[in-house]
Amino acid sequence: MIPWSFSWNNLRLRPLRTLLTVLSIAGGVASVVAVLQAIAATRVQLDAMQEMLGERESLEIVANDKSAFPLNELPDLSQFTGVQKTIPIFRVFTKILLGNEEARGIALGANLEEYLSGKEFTLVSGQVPRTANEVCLEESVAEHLHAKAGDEIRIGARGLPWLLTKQVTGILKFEKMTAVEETASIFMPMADAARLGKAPGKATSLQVLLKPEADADEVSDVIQRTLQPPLVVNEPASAADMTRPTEAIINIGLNVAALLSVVAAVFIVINTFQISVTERRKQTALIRIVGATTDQVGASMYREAFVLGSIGTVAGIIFGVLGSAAISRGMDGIYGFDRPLTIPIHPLAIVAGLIFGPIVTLIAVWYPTRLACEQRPLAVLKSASAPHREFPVRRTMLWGSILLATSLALFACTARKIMPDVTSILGISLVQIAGVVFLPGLIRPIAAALYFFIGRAYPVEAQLGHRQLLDNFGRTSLTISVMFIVSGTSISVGNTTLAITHDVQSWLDRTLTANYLLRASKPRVDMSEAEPLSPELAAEVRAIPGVESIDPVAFSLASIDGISATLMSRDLTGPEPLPVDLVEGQYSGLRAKMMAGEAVVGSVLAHRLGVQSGGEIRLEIGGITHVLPLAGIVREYTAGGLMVIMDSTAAAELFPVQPAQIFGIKATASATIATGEQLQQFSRKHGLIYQSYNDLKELVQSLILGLTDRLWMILILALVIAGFAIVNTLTMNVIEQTRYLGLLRVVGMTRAQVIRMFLFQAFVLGSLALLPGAIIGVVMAWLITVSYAGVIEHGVKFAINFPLLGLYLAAGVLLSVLSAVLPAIRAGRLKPLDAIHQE
Amino acid sequence: MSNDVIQACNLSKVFQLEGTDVNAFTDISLSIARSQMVAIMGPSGSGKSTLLHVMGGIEPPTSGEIRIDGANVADLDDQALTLLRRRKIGFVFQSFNLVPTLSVIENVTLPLILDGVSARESEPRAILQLDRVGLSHRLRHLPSQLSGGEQQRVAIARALVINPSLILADEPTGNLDSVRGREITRLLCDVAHSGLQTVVVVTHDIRVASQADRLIVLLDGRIRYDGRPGTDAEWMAALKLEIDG
Ligand SMILES: Nc1ncnc2c1ncn2[C@@H]1O[C@H](COP(=O)(O)OP(=O)(O)OP(=O)(O)O)[C@@H](O)[C@H]1O
Ligand SMILES: [Mg+2]
Repeated sequence: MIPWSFSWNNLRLRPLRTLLTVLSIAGGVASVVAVLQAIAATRVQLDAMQEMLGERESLEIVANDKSAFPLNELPDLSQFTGVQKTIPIFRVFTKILLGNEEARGIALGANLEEYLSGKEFTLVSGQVPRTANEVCLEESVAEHLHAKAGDEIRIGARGLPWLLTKQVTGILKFEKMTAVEETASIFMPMADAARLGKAPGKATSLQVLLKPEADADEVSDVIQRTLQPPLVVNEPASAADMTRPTEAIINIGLNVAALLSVVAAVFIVINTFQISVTERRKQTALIRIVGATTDQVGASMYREAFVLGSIGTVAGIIFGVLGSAAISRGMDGIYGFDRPLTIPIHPLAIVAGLIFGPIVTLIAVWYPTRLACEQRPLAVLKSASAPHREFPVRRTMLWGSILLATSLALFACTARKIMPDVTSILGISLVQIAGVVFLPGLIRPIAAALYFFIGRAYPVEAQLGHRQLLDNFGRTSLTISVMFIVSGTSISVGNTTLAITHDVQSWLDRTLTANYLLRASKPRVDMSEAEPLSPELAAEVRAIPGVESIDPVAFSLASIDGISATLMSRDLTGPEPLPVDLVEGQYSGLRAKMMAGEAVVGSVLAHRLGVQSGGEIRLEIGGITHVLPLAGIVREYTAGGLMVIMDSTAAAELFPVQPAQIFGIKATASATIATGEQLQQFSRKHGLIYQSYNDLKELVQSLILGLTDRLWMILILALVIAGFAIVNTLTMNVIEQTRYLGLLRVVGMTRAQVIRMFLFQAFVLGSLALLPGAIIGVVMAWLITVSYAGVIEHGVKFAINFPLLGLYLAAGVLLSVLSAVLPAIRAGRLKPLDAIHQE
Repeated sequence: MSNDVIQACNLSKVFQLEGTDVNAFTDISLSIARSQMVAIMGPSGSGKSTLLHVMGGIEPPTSGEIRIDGANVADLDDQALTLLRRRKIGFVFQSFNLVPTLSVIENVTLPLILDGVSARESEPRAILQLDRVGLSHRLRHLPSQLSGGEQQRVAIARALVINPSLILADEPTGNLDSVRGREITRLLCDVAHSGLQTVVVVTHDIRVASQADRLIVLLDGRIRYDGRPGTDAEWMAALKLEIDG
């Protein structure tokens, strides 16, 4: 056994090498911990967002024809995996009377205690109804009627010849997004509502609450298969529809980032060990010559690695936690938003770090140790300082091709839905890893090109620096691998996220031009049977000061080749830009086409139908079918994208379309809060639902912003990791080449030349990693877009974000050069004599 | 320009090691003229290498003044000193002379390339010098593929290639067999006598020293003898005893 003191001396007498080794392990562990922390934090953000956007873990079963249906026709849904419970609901349009006041709105019947348990609401006064003939009112309705708990009201419904008397037990106020979605005016026990709708024992919908871990789409598919027509499963429309694509894509990105952060960290650690053990090979050989067995040498190397690994792991976990917290605080400072950005310490991240550190350390020390032990000591003594130019480029190319083929196969399987979506995450990561394996093949040509250009200005520095990179081929490969992975991942995740947020943003800007909405009923579910908004109402609204224009929108149930969709007809004659967000087709001439009866469809619908702009659709509404030319394909996030949009006049000529149910109201620039308040008043009087779209837009925008700055945080983190890898490698280079550098100084290399040589190396390293990284990043972004389309069918158009790319490349190269400054200065400071006195 | 390539005045060098002072040499004054071959002898640890390093400007003296080619080393900044080395001084060390990752020809052309001489111009010059040391057939080999003596000869070729005013060689023949050693010694003598080049060579080999124009013997960091070698055979024998013993 080689004594401990020997190992101790080894670590003590080479303090910088020891420090760097520990730091690189710490850096690797920290990057894993920090990325996991950042991801955990992003997930927290996503959850917070879901919460704000209201109940999302639910589905709704309704009849296609809007009729009430008997509950006993349904299978027992509670046995389905993922289903938590079901709540039958009866909705019916009512008139509410109290004294001289009258209001109109939806009456909602359900087991109210169950129904309300999942909602965000406050009981302004009184209590929730418990028995028959008790009701509670929504706050704005109660205000309008001047009703309070204890009052008696009378309610009526269409086709019901008499009014029913009910007792008001309480007044409810909904909050957050529930306020946008839950828009009933009056709440009562299930049986009362069913009686009001003259359909006792039936329901108009069955709300299916899902378990938190359930996948809504999957459960929805399973349930749909068991249903008889006319029953269908709906995912309730919610503001979450608008942010869901963002979430889905960020989720894919985060998973890829998590996986690749581990790979990058492994490279960092292996690289350091490769350098530090190689540096010691001569010494190891000497010990062996004086009689140490390979086992003894191996044992002492593992022992040292274990000590360094343990210290590095602990330090890494601390750095990781502090680092992610610091970055997040920094982001907070930049934006100053009122968002919960504190990062909770995620136990999984720490456990991952604890496992990762020691294991990677052992893996990293294994290969160089084997090398040091396998070769005959004399051969090591002779060759230790010889260059290592040979690299099995051909073999790695072969492996790269195999990996690439595997990842493509995984994609093919995911695209055909043979395998779960996890495979696409794996596939994307594999593409990156295949890239890493291909990378050594690019070193020579790219380095030669840079040498060619920079060599003109600084021939000596470029020549020596270039030589050195090639002479340490393995190390060069490992170092650029780290940056390559980091830049590829960052660019792909950044590009896709920005693409999708841009997508949502552009859709919001183009289509939600209204500042306020007035509508007759809850969106989606019974959109097409709501009380129409009459032209007289429109005239009244227009008279309210601050109202600029009204956009009457009508929804009708439609069917195209058996796919049920919603027709949105709106008045497109106005002077404003068309409220559609084209992904295919052209804006010029679009208005005229649509006025002439052409339609545009949402991208999801187009995808399902397999139609393209310029094609045709067979649209059926109320039993009447027409074949319509398709003027374009638009982004549409409402109604799950299954939307047809037509001009209202043109639609009315062809189909029995519904009259307008929604007024999109645009405010003038001089509109004030008073305008909103007056509209609210107006809506109460007429039993309409009032929504401020300004608020909704702001909410969605701030949520998207919250997600994107999480993303930036991860990208910054990634760059820091990459910079760290470069600092580490270059410093190791300086340490290892002390003699060589000293000798160069003796024969006349100036300090400035030494420094420039290192900066050149860093520049080449940065470019070697970043240029291919940018290319693979774009490829991965494309792949993420493709697999993302598989996840939720929203065909996001793939586009390269050149500003991001340029910024990242510039930042990356700058960072690599900056990382080289310290090692370069250190190298410049070496004295000529160090060459002679070292070892 | 003075005719002396080295002018040293009251030079001392003290190394400080964990509190204790190690005197490498003390109070040395000497001048070395051009076109001379000077041998430095002395027992191990007597300060020969250190003196050589100070004369080459890669180690500053602790006290005293040293002028190389007329320039006071104390007045030169790092840049100037580097340029001085690059153009005027050729070094041959006791060991580790070559850059392990550069081939023989690359090692020899290195100082020229550092000085901005093109490859087309520097290679023939390097080959010429390698030819002088008998290694022009190993141009593309790496240092690790050469024997110790061969590496030493490459180092000498590198020192010669810049056509320096001063060549400082630390036991250049230490690793060589006697035939080769003599050849190298003769080479260094020729260099000194054929041009304006001065050669200072540290050696343990009395035969090398006897070829020199001037012999300096160091003992415990002080000059014990400074004169022509081999004038007093008996004294030389005594000195040899002292050195070896
Ligand atoms: N960098 C240093 N740090 C401390 N002491 C040193 C250093 N370099 C040399 N010395 C000491 O200075 C003294 C002179 O050393 P030097 O290398 O000049 O001897 P030398 O005459 O060349 O010996 P040798 O014939 O063995 O090469 C020695 O005692 C040595 O230990
Ligand atoms: Mg010596």
